[in-house]
Amino acid sequence: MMKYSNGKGKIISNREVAPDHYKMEVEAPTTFGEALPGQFVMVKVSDGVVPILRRPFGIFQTNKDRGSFEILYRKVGEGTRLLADIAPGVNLDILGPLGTGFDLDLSGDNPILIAGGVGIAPLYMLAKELVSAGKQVKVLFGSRGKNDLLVVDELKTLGIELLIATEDGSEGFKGYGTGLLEELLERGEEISSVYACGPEPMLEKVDKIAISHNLICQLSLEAIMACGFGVCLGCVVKTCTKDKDREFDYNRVCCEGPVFNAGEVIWDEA
Amino acid sequence: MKPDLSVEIAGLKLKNPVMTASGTFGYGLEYEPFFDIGQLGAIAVKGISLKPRPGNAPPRVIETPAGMLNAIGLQNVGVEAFINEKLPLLNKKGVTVIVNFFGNTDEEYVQLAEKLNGTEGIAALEMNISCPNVKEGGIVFGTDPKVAHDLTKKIKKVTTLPLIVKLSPNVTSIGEMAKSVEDAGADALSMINTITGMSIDIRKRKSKLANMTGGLSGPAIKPVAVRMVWEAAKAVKIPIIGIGGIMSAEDAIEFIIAGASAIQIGTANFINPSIALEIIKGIETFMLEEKIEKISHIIGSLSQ
Ligand SMILES: Cc1cc2nc3c(=O)[nH]c(=O)nc-3n(C[C@H](O)[C@H](O)[C@H](O)COP(=O)(O)OP(=O)(O)OC[C@H]3O[C@@H](n4cnc5c(N)ncnc54)[C@H](O)[C@@H]3O)c2cc1C
Ligand SMILES: Cc1cc2nc3c(=O)[nH]c(=O)nc-3n(C[C@H](O)[C@H](O)[C@H](O)COP(=O)(O)O)c2cc1C
Ligand code: FES
Repeated sequence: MMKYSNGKGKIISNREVAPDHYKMEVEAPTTFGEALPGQFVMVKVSDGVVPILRRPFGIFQTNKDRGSFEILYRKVGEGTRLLADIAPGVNLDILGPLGTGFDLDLSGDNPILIAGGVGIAPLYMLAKELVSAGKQVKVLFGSRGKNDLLVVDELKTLGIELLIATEDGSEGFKGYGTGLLEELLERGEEISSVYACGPEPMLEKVDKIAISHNLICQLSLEAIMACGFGVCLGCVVKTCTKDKDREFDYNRVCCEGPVFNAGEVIWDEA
Repeated sequence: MKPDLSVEIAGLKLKNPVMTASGTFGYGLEYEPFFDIGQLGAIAVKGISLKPRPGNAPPRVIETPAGMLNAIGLQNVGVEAFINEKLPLLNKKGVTVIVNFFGNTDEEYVQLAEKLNGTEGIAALEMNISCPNVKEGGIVFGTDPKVAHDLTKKIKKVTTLPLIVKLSPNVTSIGEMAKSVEDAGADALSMINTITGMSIDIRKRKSKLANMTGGLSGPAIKPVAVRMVWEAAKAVKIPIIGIGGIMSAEDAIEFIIAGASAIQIGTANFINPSIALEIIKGIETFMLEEKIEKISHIIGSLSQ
C-alpha cells in the first residue's frame, strides 16, 4: 500500500526568494520524512471552492530533524497567488508524498542535473542526496536572466559544480541549459546520467540529446492534475507501449510519473 | 439513540445513503490508504466497456469556477480485466459494488449487461447513457427519451441485477426522460452526469481541452442537479440517486430533501479523498441535531 497522508501541516515560513518565486516550509506528517527526490505534494490553496482543485508542487527538501518539508514555487496564476499570501502559522491541507521519485541507482559517478527555472525544485533534493552518496554532481541551471536565478547560494553550499545558462547572457553561458549540456558533451566530459526538470520544450530537447548520445536519463514532467493519486485519469501523457496491439499508452503523470525515463514519452506537436 | 442511515434502493439494502460516483473513485482500491471503503453505502466503479479504451488525448481536465471540465474519454481497463483483476479485490473489502457500464451501440450495452449479469460480487448495474451512439451518427443515447427507453428495455431483458439508469442533464425535459426510462423497467435513476461545457484560452484561441468540450462537475452544477432531482422525483416512483457537486453533508441532505433516496460523491473525492466518510458522519450529526430517527423519513420532504 502507498504511504501517503492526507492531513494538515502548519506553515513555518513562506517568503519570496526571487521575484515571483517563493519558498514555503511546512510542518509535515511523518510520511513526508521518507519522501524521495522527485515526489510531489498536492496542496489545497484555499478553504473554499475557488480554486477548487489542489495544486501539485515538487518537494524541494525534507528536514527530518525539524519534521518539515519545503516547496519552491513560482506565482503563475490564481492558486499560486493565494498560496503566496498565506501567512506562517496557518494549517495547510497537504496530501503526499505522491508519485515516483527519481531513481538514484541509475546515477553512476558523474550525474548531471539540468533545471529550467523553478524546475530546480525537485532537483535540489536530488542533488543533495547524490552528493551524500558520494557522487560528483554537476547542476546546469537555465533561466531567463540573472534575476530569475533561484536558490543559487543553497546550491553552492551542497558541494556540487554549478553551471549557469541565461537566455539573455546576463550570467554564465548565453543560451539554454540544453545548449550547455550539448557543449559538455562536445567537450567529451564524463557524464554518467542526466536528470531533468523544467518546461516541456526543455524536457523534449533533453530527451532527444539523451537518446542520441545514449545517456541514462530521467525527466520529471508536469500535467494538470485533478486528484494527484491516480483516480481521475486527467493527467496522462502519451508513452511508448510494449503491447503490439497498440500504438501508445497513456500513463498517469501522478502515478507512473512524474519521473519518466528518456525515450518513454511521446511528445506531441501541439 | 444512533440514527438509522440505512436505505433501500431497487431491492438493494445499503448501510447508508452515501456512495461514490463513477469515474471519481477509480476501482475503489485507490482510496484504501485513506479510509476503510467498506464503510460506504456503495461504490460505483469507473465506467466499464467491452474492450479496454485508451481515452482522449490530453489535456483532459481543466479547472473552472467552483468546478472542473473533464474529457477523459471513458478510459478503462475493459470488462475482462475488471472482472478478473479488480472485482475480486473489491469483494474482499466487503464493499457493495455498483458497476457503471457503457457502450457505443445497443449491442455493446447488451453484451456487457449479459456478461456482468453472470458475474458474482456485483450488487447492481448503473447504465451510463451519456455516450454517443456510433450507429446513429453519434447522437448521445441519453438525449432522446425514446432511444433511452428502448435501450433500457433491452438491458432489462438480459439482466436480473437491479438496473440503475444514469441520466444525462443535457436534455430539454428531465422529467420526461426519467418517466420514459421508468416505463422501460429501470429499477432506479442516478443523476446527474456532467453538463457539457467548454473553456477557451483566449491568447492561443484554443479550447483548453484537446477534446474541445468536456463535462462540467463540482459545486458549480449543484443547483442544476438539485432542481433536476426534484423534477424527476415528481415524475417517477422509482428511487433516485442524487449526484452533482456534493461537497458536504449539508449538500447531501439537500438532495435527499429534493427527492433522492441516496447520493453519490464525485469531484469532491479528488480534493479530499476521505470526504465520503466525513459526509456519512455529518449526516449522522445532522440527524441527531434535527432529531431524525431514520434518514428515509426525510426523502422528498420538501415543503410545498
Ligand atoms: C508533479 C508536478 C510538480 C510541480 N512542481 C512545481 C514546483 O515545484 N514549483 C512550481 O512553481 N510549480 C510546480 N508545478 C506546477 C504548478 O503545479 C502550477 O504552476 C500550479 O498548479 C499553477 O496553479 P495556479 O492556480 O497558480 O495557476 P492557474 O491559474 O491554474 O494556471 C496558470 C498557468 O499554469 C498552468 N498550470 C496550471 N496547473 C498546472 C499544473 N498542475 N502543472 C503545470 N502547469 C499548470 C496553466 O496551464 C496556466 O498556464 C508542478 C506541477 C506538477 C504536475
Ligand atoms: C474525471 C471524471 C470522470 C468521470 N467518469 C465517469 C464515468 O466513467 N461514468 C459515469 O457515468 N460518470 C462519470 N463521471 C461523472 C460523475 O460520476 C458524476 O456524475 C459527475 O461528476 C457529477 O458529480 P460531481 O459534481 O459530484 O462530480 C465522471 C466525472 C469526472 C469528474
Ligand atoms: S491527477 Fe488524477 S490520475 Fe493523475
